[in-house]
Amino acid sequence: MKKLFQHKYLFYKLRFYFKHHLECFLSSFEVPIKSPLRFLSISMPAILSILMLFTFFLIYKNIENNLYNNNQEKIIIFLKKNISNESISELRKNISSRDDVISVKYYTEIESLKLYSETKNENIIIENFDYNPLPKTMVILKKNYNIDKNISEAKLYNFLDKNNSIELYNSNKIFVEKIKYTRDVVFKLLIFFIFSLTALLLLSINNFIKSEVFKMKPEILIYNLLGARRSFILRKYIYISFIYFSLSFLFSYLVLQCLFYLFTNSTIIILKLYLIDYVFLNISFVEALFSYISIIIITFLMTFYEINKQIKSRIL
Amino acid sequence: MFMISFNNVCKIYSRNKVLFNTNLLIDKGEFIFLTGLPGSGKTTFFKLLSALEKPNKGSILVNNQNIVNFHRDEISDYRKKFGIILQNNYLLEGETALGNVILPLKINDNGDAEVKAKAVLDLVGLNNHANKIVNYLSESEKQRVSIARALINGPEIIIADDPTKNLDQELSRKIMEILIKLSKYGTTVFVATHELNLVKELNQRVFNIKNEKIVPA
Repeated sequence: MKKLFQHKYLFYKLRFYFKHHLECFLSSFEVPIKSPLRFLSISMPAILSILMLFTFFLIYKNIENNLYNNNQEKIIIFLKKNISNESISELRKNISSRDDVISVKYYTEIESLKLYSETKNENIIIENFDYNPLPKTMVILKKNYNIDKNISEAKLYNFLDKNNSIELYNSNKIFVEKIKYTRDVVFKLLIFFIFSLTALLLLSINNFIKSEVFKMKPEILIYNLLGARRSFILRKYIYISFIYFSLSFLFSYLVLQCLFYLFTNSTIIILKLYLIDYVFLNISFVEALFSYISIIIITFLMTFYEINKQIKSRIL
Repeated sequence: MFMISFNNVCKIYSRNKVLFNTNLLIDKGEFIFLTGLPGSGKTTFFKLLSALEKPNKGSILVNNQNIVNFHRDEISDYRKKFGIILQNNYLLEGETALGNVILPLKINDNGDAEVKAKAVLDLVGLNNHANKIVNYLSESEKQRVSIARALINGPEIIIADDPTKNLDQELSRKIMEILIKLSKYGTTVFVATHELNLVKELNQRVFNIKNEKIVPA
């Protein structure tokens, strides 16, 4: 009988506990629902920081993804007209044996013309085989290293310079270098912005919680005075911070998605006009979830800290 | 066995001695008037008794438990036994009178909260103001809401810091009579007051705080 009574008491306690949780959760929606403009004005710093943070992260991610492939140097070699097949295979073997060379492709005169027409998107040329100004061609894909450190690179260019089978060659080395250094500068800027915006976000969370807790100070003191446990006091304010920052996060995420679809579609069309292959990446579910959880954890920690400070402060 | 005992209690704020080697023994159900000049240490005594502050030295035993050694949650549970009426009332300004009175029951997850709250509001003459927002109540009405909140929980100890400050004579007397009645049912009541006429009139035990000591007047 005593055990049954204990269970009944436990059930009653649990019912009260969950009821209070539900009450606190629902009361947290009061401001966002009743006065959304006020909610927006309160949450604007957090919304903007999250939005900017996401935007910069997306730029970083897209640059990383798209420009990474441009790290490879492309050398186009035009071979002499009278070159024999043996010399070609020997040349090919010699080049592909080098460590920094990724691939070597050989094209006959007609294949060169086809390749040229494909890149220029001028199919008419293919039909006119009678006049073909292009010689036999080789396309080398090689890794791009820092100029100062690379000796084998200089060796390859020396070899190409001195080789009798080669009419002339051309490399996109300068372009790749430019892209590489531009990417590095942009990366550094983005990292700076991401860190600054993270700091700004932390400040806005801290500011929001401090101002909310300050507003609720008399309430916290009264609860403390009446013997409410810390968990009871915290419950109410934790839900407020949780709801505010969840809604801020959701709002920022939705705005970001709108911006993403608005800009990427038109940008892809422009890039296609310039024959630039570019793949836009969106924020993945895991990234979004991770950032959301991080924000909520930071919010919780700050709320705990601020309310504890208020509970410990002198009452009378 | 005494319910409350202060043993050599010292409370010093920086260099200001408020209570020094103070001893006090109070039985269950006693009604105590606490008098003394402003700043003499009445509020400090209440703070110490309600575990809002710890003494620099000495022990405070309530029901044979030294409250000085209580942990955070024990202090919260201990405070639930209290009915506290303070000079500044400390009410939730945006809440109704009923909402404020109900608070201690909400914290203690007590059923029938609304019925009890209405009954207590009736006791302090505020049955018609139950659903009024506290902000719109007069100082005297706020004071009574605060008194009702202190009574609702059936506390073991009531501490009242100048509870009749904003009330007229008739209402002051009525509130005091309620408190005296409660003490007869076993609640220990401490009332700090400056109204010496009322103290004389009600003929209860009086302590005076003087020269850092609590002494019978």
